[in-house]
Amino acid sequence: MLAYARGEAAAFDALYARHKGGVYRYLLRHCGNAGSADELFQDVWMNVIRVRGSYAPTAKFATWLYTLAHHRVVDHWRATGQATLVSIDDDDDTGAQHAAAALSGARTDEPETRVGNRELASSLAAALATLPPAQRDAFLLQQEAGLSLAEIATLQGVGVETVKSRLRYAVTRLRMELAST
Amino acid sequence: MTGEHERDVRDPALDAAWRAQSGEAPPPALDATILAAAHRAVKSAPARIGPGSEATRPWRGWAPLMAAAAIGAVTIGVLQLAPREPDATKAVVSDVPADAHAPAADAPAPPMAAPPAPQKPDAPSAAPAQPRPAERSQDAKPAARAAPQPFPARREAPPAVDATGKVERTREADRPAAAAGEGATDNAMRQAAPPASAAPAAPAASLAAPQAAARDAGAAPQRPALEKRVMRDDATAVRTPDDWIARIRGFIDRADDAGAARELAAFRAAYSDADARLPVDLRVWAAGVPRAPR
Repeated sequence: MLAYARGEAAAFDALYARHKGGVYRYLLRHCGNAGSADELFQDVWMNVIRVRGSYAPTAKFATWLYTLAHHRVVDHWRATGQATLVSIDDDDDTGAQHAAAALSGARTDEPETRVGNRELASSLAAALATLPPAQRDAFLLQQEAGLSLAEIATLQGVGVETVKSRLRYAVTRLRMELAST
Repeated sequence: MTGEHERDVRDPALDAAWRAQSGEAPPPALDATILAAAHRAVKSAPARIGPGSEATRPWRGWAPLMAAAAIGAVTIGVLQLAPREPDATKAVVSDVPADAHAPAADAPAPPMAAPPAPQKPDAPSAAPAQPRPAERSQDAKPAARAAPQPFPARREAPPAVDATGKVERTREADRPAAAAGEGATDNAMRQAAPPASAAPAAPAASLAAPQAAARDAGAAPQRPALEKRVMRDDATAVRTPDDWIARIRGFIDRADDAGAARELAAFRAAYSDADARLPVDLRVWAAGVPRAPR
């Protein structure tokens, strides 16, 4: 990123090739539809281009990049009226399930005929959508961005134990969904 | 500890299943749009001024001053090392004899480069009147006429001066009277110049004399006095027979027989027929003065 800030356009190509998949899937899993994911994806990278001059390497580039993506997702939730559904209360399982049911791609919207990996991918996406947003966000940051517990905690503004609890709960839920398919 | 926490919240089967279904990617059109925007942003931005840029190099501001100082130092050094040219105007031969050797000249000596002051016709003078250059050239005897243009030659060849204040000739041929005046304290006597034989050698001496003067760095402080003496000596070098006669008569009038004898010896050294040129009264006196052995 520093090289790109100095004017080396090729450095941006390398960064984009390395992170575009993870960021896109992170946004897609949060939004639930490709259209919104494309819009958010472009916004995130345009923001990267715009603020390149003020980039300071205080942490990994991935942490900084997914922070931008996370903020963009929160803005999207607020803009679409889903901000109230973003609960950080991990124990509020009932509310999270209601919120997940409202998302596109949720389990209730899935067709009954699924086979092979297609079924697996759909089951995972559906199961993920049923998770509370904070748990889903922590799981996606761990899986797609490869961030550590501390980095996720910093990004979400919570403690490590909270992140750990969210992840444990999300994994348990997803495992149960996979077992049921 | 952190690794244990990580393992607690991870399920390998779930991770594998997740990776298997993680194949989504942004559409190529979106990739192209973002990459184009990134390249366009970099290329449209003004070039950053690095520390090595010409406009920010630290030496750029004082480089002209450094160059000027270097040029000044080199110039001063060259001027210090360059040999000083002898001032030819200060070595101009004067027609007026030096006051120390021309006691009859009551009037003060004219400036070095100035022409001799015209003598007043009614002014009484104990010594014979100094002939003007034109008159002297008419009165010149064959030996004197054999040395044409003595003044330019003398101007081109100022005698070198050593640190002790003695006038140093660069060639022995320049002072044939030196043998006659050997041992004498008077420099003028020793430097009595031959009018005929010295003139042809003057150009060669003019080349050697400045070099000898440049070698003699110690003579610089005494330059004014020495130059005066040089002028006086040069004045004696172009004496005509009338000059010699006047000088000899001046010594005799002061009862300085030794000085008169030295003048006669120098006159004889310069002119082989010196005795024949003397007036009758002096010729009688000169007959009693022994000739210097040749």
